[in-house]
Amino acid sequence: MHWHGDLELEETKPTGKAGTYVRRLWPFFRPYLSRVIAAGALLLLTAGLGLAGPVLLKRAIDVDIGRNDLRGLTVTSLIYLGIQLVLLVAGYFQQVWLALVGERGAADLKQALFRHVLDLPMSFFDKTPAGKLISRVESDTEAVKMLFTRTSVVLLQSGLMLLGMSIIMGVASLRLFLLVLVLLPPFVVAFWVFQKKVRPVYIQVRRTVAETNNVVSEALKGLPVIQVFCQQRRFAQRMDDLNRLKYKHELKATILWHAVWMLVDFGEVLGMGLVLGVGGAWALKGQITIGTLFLFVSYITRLFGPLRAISDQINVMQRAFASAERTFQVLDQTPEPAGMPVNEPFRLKQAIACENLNFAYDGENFVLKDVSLVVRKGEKVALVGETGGGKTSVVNLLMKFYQAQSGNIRCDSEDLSTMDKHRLRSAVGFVPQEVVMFPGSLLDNLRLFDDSISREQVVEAARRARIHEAITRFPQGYDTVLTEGGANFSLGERQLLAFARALVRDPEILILDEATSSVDPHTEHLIQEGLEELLKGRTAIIVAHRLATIRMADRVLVVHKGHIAEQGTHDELLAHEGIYSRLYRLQYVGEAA
Amino acid sequence: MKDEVRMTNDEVRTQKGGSLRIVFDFWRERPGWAIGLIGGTIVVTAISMVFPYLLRMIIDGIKRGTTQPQLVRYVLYLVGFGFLRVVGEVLLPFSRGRINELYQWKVRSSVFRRVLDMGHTFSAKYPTGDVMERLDHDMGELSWFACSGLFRFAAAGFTVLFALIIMVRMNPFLTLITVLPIGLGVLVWVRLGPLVYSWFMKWRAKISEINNQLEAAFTGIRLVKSYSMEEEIGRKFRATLDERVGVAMGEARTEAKIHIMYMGIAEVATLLVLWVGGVQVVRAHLTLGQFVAFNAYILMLIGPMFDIGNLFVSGRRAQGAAERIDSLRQHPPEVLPPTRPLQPVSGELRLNRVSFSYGSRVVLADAELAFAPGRKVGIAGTVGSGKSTIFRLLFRTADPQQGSVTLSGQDVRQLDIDAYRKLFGYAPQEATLFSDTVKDNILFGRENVTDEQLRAVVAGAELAEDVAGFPKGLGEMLGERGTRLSGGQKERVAIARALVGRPPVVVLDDATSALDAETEKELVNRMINQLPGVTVIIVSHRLSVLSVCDWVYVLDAGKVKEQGKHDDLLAKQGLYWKLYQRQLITEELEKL
Repeated sequence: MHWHGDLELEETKPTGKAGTYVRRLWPFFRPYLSRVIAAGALLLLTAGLGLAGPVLLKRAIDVDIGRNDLRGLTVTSLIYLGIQLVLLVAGYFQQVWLALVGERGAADLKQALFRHVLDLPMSFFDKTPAGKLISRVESDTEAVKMLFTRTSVVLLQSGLMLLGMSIIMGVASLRLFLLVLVLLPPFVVAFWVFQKKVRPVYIQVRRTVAETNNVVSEALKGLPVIQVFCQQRRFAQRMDDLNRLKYKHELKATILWHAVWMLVDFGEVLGMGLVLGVGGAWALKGQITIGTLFLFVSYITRLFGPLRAISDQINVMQRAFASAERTFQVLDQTPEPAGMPVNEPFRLKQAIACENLNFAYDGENFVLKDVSLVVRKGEKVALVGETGGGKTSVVNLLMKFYQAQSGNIRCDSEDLSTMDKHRLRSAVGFVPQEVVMFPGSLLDNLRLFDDSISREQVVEAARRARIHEAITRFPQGYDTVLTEGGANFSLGERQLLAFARALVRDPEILILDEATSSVDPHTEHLIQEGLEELLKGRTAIIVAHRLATIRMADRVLVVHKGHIAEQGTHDELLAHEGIYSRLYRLQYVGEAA
Repeated sequence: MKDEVRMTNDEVRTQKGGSLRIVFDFWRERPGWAIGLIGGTIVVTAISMVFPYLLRMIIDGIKRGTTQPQLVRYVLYLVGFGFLRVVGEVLLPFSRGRINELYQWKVRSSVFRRVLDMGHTFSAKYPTGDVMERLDHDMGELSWFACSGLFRFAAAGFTVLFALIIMVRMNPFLTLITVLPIGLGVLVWVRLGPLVYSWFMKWRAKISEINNQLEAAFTGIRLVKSYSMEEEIGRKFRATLDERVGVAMGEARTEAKIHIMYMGIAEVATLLVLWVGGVQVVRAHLTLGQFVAFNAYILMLIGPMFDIGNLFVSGRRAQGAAERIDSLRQHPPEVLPPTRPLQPVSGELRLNRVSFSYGSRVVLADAELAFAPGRKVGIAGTVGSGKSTIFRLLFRTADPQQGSVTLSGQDVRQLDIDAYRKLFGYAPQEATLFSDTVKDNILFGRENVTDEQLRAVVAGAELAEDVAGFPKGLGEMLGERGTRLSGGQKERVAIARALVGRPPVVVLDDATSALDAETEKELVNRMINQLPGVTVIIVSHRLSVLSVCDWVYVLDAGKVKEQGKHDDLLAKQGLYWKLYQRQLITEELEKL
C-alpha cells in the first residue's frame, strides 16, 4: 500500500497556477530578500560577462593579431583576465548566496511544516502514516527548494545568455545570425515533441519501480510460504521479468534522450557548417572578418546548452509544483482547537467528571456509549476490561486528543472543550503504553528537552522511579545517547523510564496506560515500587492490566463494549459474579499457566 | 545485540577492498563488451580530434585566400566528420547507459534470487524497507559507476592522451604552458574531491538525523502532545536544521570552489592561448588556424580532466553501495542443501530432542514430537512456547542446533530440500497472499491439478461462494491493485492453497482465527474428514478445535509439557485445562 500510495502522489499533476505557488512560498524566502537581490545582480553580471570571452577573442584575432599589434594583444589579454577574475569571484558568491537562500528558506519551510503538523489533531495522525509525513517535511520541501536555487537561476541565466548571444551575433553580422536563426524552429518543435513523448515513459519506469518494490516487499513478508511451497524460482522469474520491463522502458527513455541530443548535436554541426561554409565564403570576399567567424563558431556551441537547460527545468518545475501542492495540503489542515489561553496553571480542586460521553473515531462506529464517570481529587481509579473495550478511548478524551460527539468532560467547573490544551496537559502526567524514545541523550529524554529542568531533578526522579541504577550502568550515565528507539533498555526498564518522565514534572494528575508486556520478577518488583512512588499523593486514572496495580486503586471501573459495566472496589467486584470476576479469573488462570 | 554489531564489523573487514568485485564479476563474464566499449571509445575520441584540425585548415585557408571550392571541400569534411562524431558521441553514452541498466537488471535479479533463500536471521537483520532501499537506490548508484563511471574515465583518458599528442606535435611550448594550469587543477581536485565526499557523507548523516527526529515525533505524537513538548522538540528540530544548513553550505562552498576552478582553469588556459599563442601568431611561429585549433583542444581537455578526478569520488560512493548490496548476497543461509541429496520416502515425521535458540533466547529445549502418517495432531501452548519454531524445523527453513528432524528415520538434512518441502501444504498464521489471481494464489506452483480438483479444494476451504461473487471468479486479481479480501476470505484462500494437490502433510498454523468459534470448529472438522490418510498438524488459539485431533501436544517454554487426547488432557486438569478455561472465560466475556 505504501508504495502504491507514493506512486499516486508522485504522479499528481499540479492543479494551480505557477503564480499561486510562488506567492505562497515567497514568505519563506522573503527574509533573505537582500541576498536574493544581490545574487540576482551577480547573476546578471555573470551572464553578461560570460558572453565577453568570444568577443574579446574576436577582437584579438581581427584587431591585435591581424595588425600584429603586440601591445594591443597584451591589453586585450589583460582585459580578458580582469573580466574573468570578476566573473569567477561573482560566480562564486552568486552560487553560494543562492544556496544559502535556498537552504535557509527550505529550513524555514520544514520548520513551519513540522510545527504545524505537531499541532494537528490526533485524527490526522490516525489516517496519515508517519512515513508519508516525513516525506512531506523532507523530500517535498527539497523539491520546492530547487525551484528557488536551481530552476529560477537556470531559467534566468539561460534566457539572458540566449538574448545576449543573439544581440552580439546580430551586431557582429546580422546576415550570418539570420542564417543561424533558421535552424532554431525545427529544434524547438523537436524539443516539444520529445517532452510529450518522454513523460509517459518515465511514468512507466516509475510504475515498474513501484511494482518491483511491491514484489520485494511481498516476497520478503511471505518468505516462509514461498520457501515451503518451493516457489523461489517463480518469484525470481517475476522479479527478472519486471527488471527486464524496467530495462525496456529505461532503454526507451534513453533512446529518446539520445535522439534529442543527437538532433541538437547535428544542429550544432549543421550550424557550424553553415557558418563556416557561407560565412567562410563571405570572409574570403572580405565581407566579414575571421574574428567574426570565430565568434559565431564559439557561440553556436553555446547556443544549444541553454535551450537544453531550459527544457530540463520545465520538468523540474512541474515536479516542484506538485511537491508544493502537497506541502500546502498539509499546511492547510486545521490544527486542533487550542482552547482559551489562561495564564494561571490548572489546579484540580474537586473532581474530573465525564457525563454521557458518546464517541466514535470515525463518526460512525461508537466505541464509547453513554459513559459517565467521576474521579475525585486524590482518588486512584483503575479502568479494566478487555482489549478494544474502550479504556484507551476514555484516556484519549481526557487528554483532549479527540473530541467526543456528545457529552462533556469537566475539570471542576471548567469545560474541557474550551480549556487551553497546554494548560490541561501540563497538569497531567501521561504514561503511555508504548514508551517512545527520542533521538538524543537519556537526560533530555527524561526531561523531554525542557532545559528549565535541572539534572538534579532528573536524577531524583529517576531514583524514585527505580531506574537510576540501570542508568548508571552505562559509562556515560545520563548523557548516554540512545540508540534506535531506546533499544539499549529492556521493555521493563523502558516502563520505568516512562515513570521517571512523569515524576520529573511532578504532575497533579496522573494518567497511566499500563504496558501489558510481561517482565522478569526483578523488574516487576521495581515497577511495583516505582508505581507506588508515582501514585503517591496524586489523582490517578490507570488503564490497568496487572492485578497488583488494580489492588492499588481506590475504585475499579470495568469498561466493557463501550460502557462502564461495573464499578466498585476489587473485593466488591469479585464478590459479584460479573465481568470483573471473569477478567480476574482469566488473569489468574493465565498467570498460573 | 552485541553479536550482531561484531558480525557487521567482521563483514566490513572481510569485504573491504574486494567490495567492487560485484562490478568486476559482471565484466569478467562479458569480455567482448568491455573490448567493444574500449574500441568504440578510442574510435569516437579519435574522430572528435579531427574537428579542431579541420577548423584550423579552414581558417588558415581563408587567411591564405584559398579558393571557394577548396573551402567548400573543407567545410564538407567538417560537416561529414561532425556527423560521424555526433553519431559516435551519442552511441557511446547510449551504450554505456544501456549497459548500466542491464547491469542493474542482472545484478538485482541475482541478488534477489539469493534473498529468496534466506531465513529468519536475514529477516531479523534486514527490514523490508532496508532491502528495498538497497535494491533500488544503492543499485542505481552502483550501476552508474559499473559502466558509465568506469568508461567515462576511460574516454577521458583517451581524450587527454590524443589531444596532448596532437598539441605537442603542433607546438610543444604552447602545450606545456597551457596544460600546466589544467594539471594544477587536477591536483587541486584530488585534494578537494575527498572533501566533497566527506561533506556529502556529513550531509547524509544530517538528513538521517532529521528523519529520525521526524519519525520519533510523529510516532510518539501522543507523548509530544501530552507533555506539551511541541515547543521543545520544535526548537531541537530547528537546531538540527541549522546544523544541516551549515553542512549543506559547506558542501555548496566546496562545490562552488570546484565549479569556479573548473571555469577558471578553462579561462586561464584560453587566456594563455590568447596571449602566448597570439604573440606567436604575430611572430609567425604559429598560424591563425593553429591558434584557433589550440583553443578548441584546450576546451576539449577540461571536461575529461574532471571526469578523471571524479572517478575517485564516485568510486568511493559506489564502493559503499556495492558493500551494502553485496552484504545481502553474502548473508549466510539458514540451511544448506545436502551434498548428496536423497529422495524423501513418506513415513513418520519426528522431532528428536530438538533444541533451538535465537541468540541467547532458548525457544525449544529437548522437544520431542512425532507425526505418524495420516494422524491429526494438535499443538497447543502459551504465547512464545515455541510453536512457530517447530514449523521452521519441520519445513527445514531452519535446522535445530541440537537433535534432529527425521522422516521415516532419515535425517531431513540429507534430503533434497525441494522434494522434501513439497510434501507439505501450509497455511500460516497470518494469511499471506500475493498480487496475483485467486487461482494462482491457490495453485501456487502445484502442478497437475485438474479443474475438478481445484473446484473441490475451493469448496473444501468454503471459498466457493466468495469466488462466485468475484467478477472474474478464480481469475480475479488480488493484492495492491486488485480486490482486497476480508481477513476471513484471505484465510480461506490460504487454506485452499494448503490443501491443493493433496500434499501428504497439511499444516494449519492458527489459520482460521478470523472465524468465530463455532464456524471454525465446523470447518476444521469437515476438512479433516475430507483428508483421510493425510497427516494434519493444527495449531489453534481456540483449544476446542483441537478436540478433533488424534493427539495433542501442549508446549510450555520450549518443552512438551503434556500430551494426549483432548478429553484426557482436560481430565488431567493441568496446563491444557487451564488454557482451556481461560478460553471459555474469554468466550463468555465476548457474549456479555
